[in-house]
Amino acid sequence: MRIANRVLAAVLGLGLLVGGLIVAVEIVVAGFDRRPWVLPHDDWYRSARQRSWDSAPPRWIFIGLVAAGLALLLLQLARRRPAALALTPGAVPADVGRRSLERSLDREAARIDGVAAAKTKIGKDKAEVVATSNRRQAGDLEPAVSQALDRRLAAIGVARPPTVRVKVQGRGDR
Amino acid sequence: MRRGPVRLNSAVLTLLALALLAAGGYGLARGYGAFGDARAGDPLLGESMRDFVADNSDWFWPLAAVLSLLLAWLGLRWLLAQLSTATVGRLPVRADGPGHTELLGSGATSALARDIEDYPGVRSASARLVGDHPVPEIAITVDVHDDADVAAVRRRIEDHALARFRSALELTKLRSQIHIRLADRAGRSVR
Repeated sequence: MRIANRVLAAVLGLGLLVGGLIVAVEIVVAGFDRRPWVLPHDDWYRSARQRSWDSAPPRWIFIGLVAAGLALLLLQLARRRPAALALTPGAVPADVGRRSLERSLDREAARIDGVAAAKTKIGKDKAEVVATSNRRQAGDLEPAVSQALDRRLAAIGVARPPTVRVKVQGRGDR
Repeated sequence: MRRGPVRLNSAVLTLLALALLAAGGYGLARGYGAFGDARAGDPLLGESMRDFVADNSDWFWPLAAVLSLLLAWLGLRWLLAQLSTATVGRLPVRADGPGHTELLGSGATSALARDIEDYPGVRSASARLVGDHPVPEIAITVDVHDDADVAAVRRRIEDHALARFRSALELTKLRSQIHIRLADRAGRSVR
């Protein structure tokens, strides 16, 4: 998400830089009654005088603007997962990388007898764990995994530990 | 990435999205007759607008050129903000005598990282000085093993490594941030 915004910002910044310079040069060139340098603004001017608001080409342009605006707005409003989770306050602010924490919880869950592997996804408030059991009956694995991961989050010192939700898939579920 | 550009990008892109929606929405509404059928049939560039530009061409076009250059400059600043890492290359060191002494930022941060790497449970560490504030900020990334005591590592960094760093550079004020990554004892760490 941050990367997408950064790439978009770089592209738009470059567009503004180049576009702004070209428009300024075109204004100066037009001031000397010369033909357009890069932008065919004389064609655009004629077209804008002839075409009405209800004609098809402007309508498509407006639809494009609305679609681009909506896409950009949805991108900004999209619920993003945190890049890091704050640790309990200390003399120096500290956090733990979300992805490394997810992998660490996977390993912690996999240490429990009966769990073959686990996959954790940490969101803003909760951690969803899908554990795969090597047993035919998953039995009481869910609370066992949940308690182990709660203990692990407390040991690491996550300031606001996400609520752990565990789903165990037994051999019979696959 | 620093928080400043992250917030700036989010704010500017949100404003741009709203501006695109407003412009496109107005165009569509007018084209579909929301302001009357007569206005829907008007040319995009109306006579009143053309007359206004023609009557004020002595200041309108110079102002448009200046605004274009301003937009280009803002675009350049925005682009540079994306490319900048804000890492401080050199750090001034207080000296009693005449002259000016600077310390290479990478030398100081490497020494700090080596200090931290000696702690039990730490697999690797890196540090960098981040600028754009009168008080320098040190950003430390520490890869610790799963079985390490994270709280103890944090305390040692705060009480030992950062204290030594501050004292060596004679810094009275230093903002710090520790980023922990958990690593499998045998494998590699991920962000």
